Amino acid sequence: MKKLAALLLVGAMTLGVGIVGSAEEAATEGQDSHYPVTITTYNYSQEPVEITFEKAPERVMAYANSNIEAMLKMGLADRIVMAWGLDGEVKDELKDEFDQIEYLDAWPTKEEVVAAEPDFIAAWYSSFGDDRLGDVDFWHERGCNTYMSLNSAAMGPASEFPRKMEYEFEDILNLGKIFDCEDKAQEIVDEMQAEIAKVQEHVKDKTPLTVAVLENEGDSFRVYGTETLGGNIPESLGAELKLGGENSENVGAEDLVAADPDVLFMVDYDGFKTGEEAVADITEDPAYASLSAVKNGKVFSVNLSQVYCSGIRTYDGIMTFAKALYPELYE
Amino acid sequence: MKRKLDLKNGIVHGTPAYIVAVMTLLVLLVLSILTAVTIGSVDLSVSDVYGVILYKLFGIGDPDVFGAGAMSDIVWFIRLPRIMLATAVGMGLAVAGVVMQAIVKNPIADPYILGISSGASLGATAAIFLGVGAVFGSNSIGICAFIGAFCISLLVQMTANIGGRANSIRLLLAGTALSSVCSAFSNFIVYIGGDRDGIQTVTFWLMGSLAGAKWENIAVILPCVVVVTLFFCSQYRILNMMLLGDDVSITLGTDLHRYRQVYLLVSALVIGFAVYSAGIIGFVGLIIPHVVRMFFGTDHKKMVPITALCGSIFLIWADVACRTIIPKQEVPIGILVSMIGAPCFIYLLVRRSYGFGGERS
Repeated sequence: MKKLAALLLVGAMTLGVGIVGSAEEAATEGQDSHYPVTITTYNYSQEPVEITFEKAPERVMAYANSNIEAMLKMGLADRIVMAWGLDGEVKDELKDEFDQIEYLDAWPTKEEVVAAEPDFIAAWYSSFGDDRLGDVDFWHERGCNTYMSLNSAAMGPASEFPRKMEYEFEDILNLGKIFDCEDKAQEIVDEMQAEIAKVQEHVKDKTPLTVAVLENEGDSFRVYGTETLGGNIPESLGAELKLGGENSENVGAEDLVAADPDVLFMVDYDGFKTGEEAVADITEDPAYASLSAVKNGKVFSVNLSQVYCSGIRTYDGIMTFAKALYPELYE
Repeated sequence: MKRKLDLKNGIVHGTPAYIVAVMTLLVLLVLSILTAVTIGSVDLSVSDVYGVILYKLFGIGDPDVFGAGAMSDIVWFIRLPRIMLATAVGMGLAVAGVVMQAIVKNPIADPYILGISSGASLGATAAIFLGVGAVFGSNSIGICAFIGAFCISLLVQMTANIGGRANSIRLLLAGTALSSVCSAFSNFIVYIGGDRDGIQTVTFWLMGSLAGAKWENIAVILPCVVVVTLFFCSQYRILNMMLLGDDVSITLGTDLHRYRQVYLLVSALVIGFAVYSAGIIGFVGLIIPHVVRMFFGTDHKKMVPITALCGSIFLIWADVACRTIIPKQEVPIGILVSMIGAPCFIYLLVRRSYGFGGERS
């Protein structure tokens, strides 16, 4: 009996210490102790570089949907001093926030960016080429941190570092860390992961549907294969890539007819084709009339911004594929 | 009545006209550098710009204002390196153009004629698409281009020497043949690679740009170009003889073969550096020598220094134009130079009678 009492006592004490400990942690975290924050990013040679933030950046240059929209969604519009590089319009839900920021009408010159004195640049790999902003060390030496979207070739070519949704999540969570708004970042990622889980549960015991994600380049089709984000999303949703399962080499019309996937996705983007045009390329060409996807009305369009460095649009990408593949889930 | 000044053989106040021209051009070059540095997409006052330069060069002025910060960075790390690179590349290409035209004894020769540009493109393409030269880090494209350019110029010489001594015709033919081989291979790599970003990088690179200018590179390239220019200034007799051809030279007791090889290697070095730091900028090396020849004649004693300075000044202003001609957008310098330069050249060609290597046309 005594032994039991002693055990209980020890147990209670340990628990108590634990509670006090975690309470203390929470208290310090609420203060400025969130910083310094260290994040790994990359340079133009695709080598990892550690950057440390002493405080939340206040003057941000944001490039492309992935960075601009993620920041707007996390309520960081007031931190953006210059933005550029949207593919098409900003998402409808973010129009109000978007109106608050300084959105340029063209790539700023390196001079103009220096003159804006940013303390953080969130951009893509290509942004740090000599023809744009120059390599990251120039900026780091001037007290300006940089971040490269992981799926923008930051780590290396897709053949060695396949693009994945996880990297989009990591980008959003990293921005959350940098700006001390991890909760909001986590919320955005949770929503996407919940959707994926829901679909995966649905398809658990089903025979996978075969798909192909293609972009019409005129004389051949660009294939969004397994190492691209456009291939990774449907694969993660339980579909099987009929084209591009191993690599993303372009295919011709004959290859498409021979592959005959159950569902076909055609990529569209601003200044190239609309979604309807991209679909019509297939459905209205008699050469493809024998495709089962055409016969069953299973040819869909997917916007490039949802499958390439997609940021928060990864959610839209997941929904585009999920709704097309499993309409029964969304009735 | 004022007599028209004879630039070719005239004397101005007891000094030969070409010496006066060289002096004038030197002053113009310095003025061009000082003017060009005040032009850019960000509005900086002229006194601020010179304040930064004075501080950086001589330590004069307030270090807090001119030593660090956005203004100082823009002038010292963005604008000035570009201008100095333009000076070096313009000089290098123009001088290499003169030398190539003499070596192959052909007025359509330019620095890239002996396959050097195709070799450079092949190197760059291999670096971009196949990841060759990844050990060189962020400079891999430029370094591979340099290696490509240099290897091809060696190969051209070797090929031209097989089964007989290389003369200008053999060099030209070997250059053209190897050049086609290289372009075919680079096109093949691009076609098979099919990578959107890669194609963009190659295109950007092939059209030439001075945007990648860095002091570390300029510290190597500029002295090298100046030394090579001075070297060729001292070689004017041989260069003049090259235009007369092998037969005449042998009669005069000089074997041009050896000189040709040395000159080719020295120019390949300069062209390689130019390609490494600025991609391929056509036209400068072809047109500047011709324009100078129209005014000053074919004597290389005058031509080499004047061409060098004209090349620098021309490229500085071409770069200013490509930064400012379309607001918010930079025109690749290779395109701009040809767009503006070619019509000017045609105009000059029509207006003036012109000779190359003795014959007049």
